[in-house]
Amino acid sequence: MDDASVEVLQDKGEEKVILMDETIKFLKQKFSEYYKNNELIYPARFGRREFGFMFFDREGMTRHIGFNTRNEIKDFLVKNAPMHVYHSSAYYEKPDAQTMAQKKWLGADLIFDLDADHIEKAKGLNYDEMLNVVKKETLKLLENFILDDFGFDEKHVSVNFSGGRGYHIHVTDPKIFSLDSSARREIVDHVEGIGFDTEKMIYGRSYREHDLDMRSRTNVKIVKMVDPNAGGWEGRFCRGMISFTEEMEKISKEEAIKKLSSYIKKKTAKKIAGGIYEDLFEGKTGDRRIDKIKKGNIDIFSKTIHLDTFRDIVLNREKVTITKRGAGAADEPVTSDIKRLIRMNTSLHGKTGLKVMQIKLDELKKFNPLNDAVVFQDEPVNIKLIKPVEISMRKKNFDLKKGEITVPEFLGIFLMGRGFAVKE
Amino acid sequence: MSLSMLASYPFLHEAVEYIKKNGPALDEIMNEKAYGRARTLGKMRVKEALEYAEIKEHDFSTETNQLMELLSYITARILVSCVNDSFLTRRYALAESKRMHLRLQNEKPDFVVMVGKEFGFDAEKEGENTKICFTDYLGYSSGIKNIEWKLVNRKIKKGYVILAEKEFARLIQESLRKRIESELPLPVNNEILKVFKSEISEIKNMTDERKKMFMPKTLGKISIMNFPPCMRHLLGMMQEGENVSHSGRFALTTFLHAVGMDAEQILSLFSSASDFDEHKSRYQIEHITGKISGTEYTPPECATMKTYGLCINEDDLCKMEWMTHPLKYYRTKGKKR
Repeated sequence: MDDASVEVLQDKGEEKVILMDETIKFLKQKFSEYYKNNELIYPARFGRREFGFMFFDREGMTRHIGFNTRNEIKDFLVKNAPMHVYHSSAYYEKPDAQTMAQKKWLGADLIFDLDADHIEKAKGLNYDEMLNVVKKETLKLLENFILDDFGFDEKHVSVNFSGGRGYHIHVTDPKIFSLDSSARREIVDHVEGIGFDTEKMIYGRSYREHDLDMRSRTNVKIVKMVDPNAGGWEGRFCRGMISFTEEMEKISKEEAIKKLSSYIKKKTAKKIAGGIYEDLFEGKTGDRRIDKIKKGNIDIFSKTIHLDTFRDIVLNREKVTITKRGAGAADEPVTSDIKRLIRMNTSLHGKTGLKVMQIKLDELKKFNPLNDAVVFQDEPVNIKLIKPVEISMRKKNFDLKKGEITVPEFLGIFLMGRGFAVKE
Repeated sequence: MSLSMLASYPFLHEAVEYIKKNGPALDEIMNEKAYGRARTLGKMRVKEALEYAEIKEHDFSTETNQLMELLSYITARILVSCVNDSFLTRRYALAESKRMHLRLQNEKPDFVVMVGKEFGFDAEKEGENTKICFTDYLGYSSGIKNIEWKLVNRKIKKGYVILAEKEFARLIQESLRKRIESELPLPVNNEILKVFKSEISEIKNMTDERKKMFMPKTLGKISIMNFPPCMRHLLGMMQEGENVSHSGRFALTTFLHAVGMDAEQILSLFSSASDFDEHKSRYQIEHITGKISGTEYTPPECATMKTYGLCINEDDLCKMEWMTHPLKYYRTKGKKR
């Protein structure tokens, strides 16, 4: 399915059970009760949005649904108790029309989907650790890009826990409503540093053929670099370049020289590498030439070949590594799609029973989904677990054995949703 | 604003108001002898746009000439609308916007900012530079195919993009181009079609001639030596069985198809890949070459290749300023040999 913010909790290689009728009946009943007894938050301009649903007992997705009042939405949720609830990021003249052309697109929020599935660093971790990595990425995207580079006002930015394995950022500044897909792709490219041109990071003429004596040219600035404090990618890349260089000092001199020579395809590689190393790191801390680079002065090399090699390493050979350090994570297809469906705030995620919920920006750091997004209570429920599970939920640790057991409802629903258990 | 300014920037709302207030009415422009020069100039505007993608300067010395110049903009737009051919509309929009850009370069910064307002840019001067909201920037920059226009390569600060004077003028050019493209064709009635009958057929013929020149020429015998580095790299990867991204496969397939290979030939080129899946590859290739989908996709241009990280091993020819498309590279290399 390419409607995606439809995340699926994939547990590759793990055993799964097919939900039985009893289980489905139980989950539906619980979900319906939740929708009935709780105050829901409906998206702004809900009447202009398309809604889509997936159900416990039906294949595929039901979409192109429009609602006129909040009560209609609530009634629908109580009656049908869907497994997943989505609405469009877009606004339409006729949200319930069957084709996009008939819907007549009016504009769309800007959405960033941060999901463990798309974040390299989150691969192979357990649920807890994985959510932490995704949270870190969310904070980076928010602080460095959404609030800083793009300068969006906090009142137009909301972060939702997805109920599954990530976070969604919604930007609702009217300035972005009309941006088309290619403009949104530019935003993604900016976040990820794609297409960043490093050429102008270090600019100006390189030294002349015969190297001048270091002392005699102290006042002659020939080569310059971008200010590390500059805004946007210029400064970001510059800082990345500096931290990349500094790391070479943390390893032993021999190792650093070995690493540096690996970039050089010349017989004299080792000599050049040694020269670069000395140019950068000789002297006392705070007084070394790397410290000058940190202040934005690149004119510190004793030989042309040192500068040229250093420049080639940081601007070309290690361009991708350095860019990645500063880059944020953005799922390109989600952000550039102007018709995407996204989970509704305060709805339940059918594969965890956790609540999709908005988190205040200053509370994101301490947000713990396995405690804060749990909505069900602790009445006992009998389930049959198909594999042993160790988990911490609601600040309690559970070490569960395979087989028939009794657990609190919130945990039972989580395990059934994930397909680790069935209702007994 | 003076009449000469209005004639120079006839798309400004002040120009529209001027004519509304002082006339002449449309049927006067169309029929009266006094406005013959406006009609001739209007036709010239369109013809120059077609031929050179620019509009030449005409005599501006008297008030009458200035008025005729202003009215010729209206006539030109009507003529383009009558012919109603998207190729012509695009080329005309390009020429008009290029002319404005040229003129803006001799204007004072404040005036440029004012023209920007016409297109909704809330621009502010910041020293030598102009700063605009990045969302306004994105609305138009994505139409400019140079890597330096990517947002990632721009100075951006708290939602504002900082542009040099010249760059801001270039962005306004893009806005005018898009505006004209979206405004035209205007609705025309039978009377208009009748009055301009000969002009319309003349421009139509010229348009068809021009279009032919832009048609892809047969590329002759396919020579891998003439492939741009990016395509050679992709083909190499494909044949080595390395993992090529979806966008990479798309770029390569469309390119091979454009240089004259059919689906079978492309399939056989790919078949040396270790993970070659004939059924799947055939489906993809036939989709891209139009056999299944009915749409023949064209290869992405250099800017897009760059965006997807597919632009690799740029050589001197790639670095030429005018080099914008992998197919252009292939043709140029072919001619050199």
